[in-house]
Amino acid sequence: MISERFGVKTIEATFALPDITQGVYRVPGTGTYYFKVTPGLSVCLEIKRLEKNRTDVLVLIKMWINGIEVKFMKRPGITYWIGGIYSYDKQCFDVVWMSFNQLAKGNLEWETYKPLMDLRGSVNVTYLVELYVDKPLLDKNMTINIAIGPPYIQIHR
Amino acid sequence: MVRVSKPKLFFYAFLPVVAALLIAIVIFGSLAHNVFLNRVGIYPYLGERDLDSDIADKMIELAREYSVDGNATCSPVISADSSVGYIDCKFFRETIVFPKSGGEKLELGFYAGELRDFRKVWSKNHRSYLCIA
Repeated sequence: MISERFGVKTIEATFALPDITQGVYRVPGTGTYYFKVTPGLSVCLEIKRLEKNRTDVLVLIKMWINGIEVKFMKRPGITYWIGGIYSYDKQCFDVVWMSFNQLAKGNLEWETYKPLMDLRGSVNVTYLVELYVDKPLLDKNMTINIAIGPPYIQIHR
Repeated sequence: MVRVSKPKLFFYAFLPVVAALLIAIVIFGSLAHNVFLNRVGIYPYLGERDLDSDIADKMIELAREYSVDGNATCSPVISADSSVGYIDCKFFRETIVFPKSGGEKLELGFYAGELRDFRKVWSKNHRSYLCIA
């Protein structure tokens, strides 16, 4: 379903989750944490250029859970950056899932992560995905294929 | 008759006590650490588990299959050994051709790439998307 938020088309997904309780786990042997119930959104980027040259591409994802935005300190959203010198590159990643599986302890205190604690029952997740390139790339001959999805929620048993 | 000097008596008598105290402190500290660990932040539970990425890996593989030829079989639920994924089987795909004019500048704030001038070239407000539900 494509919906409109603030005049911008977004990706919207509704999940009917079983009776579960959100929690936070520590990854053994590390100082990082992850959510038991974790949202995810896969993205594939394929970059084709005629010449081998520097490439700077950045994917920005904003996320709302049940209408409340999940915000990040000093950042407009979740970011994934692809940079390097090449004529062809293809990368598939899930920066949403990654963001909630490599949490520092300090991140757990963020009030803006509270919507993640409401991942229970019927959950509506909205994503806004945007693609940015470094300004010099605008004039280059280049093609970027972007594939997004599917949106999902993972529950660790 | 073996005579034990006072310093040695002190050593033999109190060393076990000191050692026992140290062990008690270590055990108590460890228990207290775990108790406080379970009360971090706003979260109802904080435990320790192995992190598995089975579902995330499968979803990335699915996205890769879809991005190649536009065909992928998506089930609304995917199970793995220690986790389950609930999926909304929608995909979106689009091609962005350059050269093109850039949109608004991205204000990143504190970020490693802040020295770069990132310009928006695509977002979901483009209408030419493909959706397979």
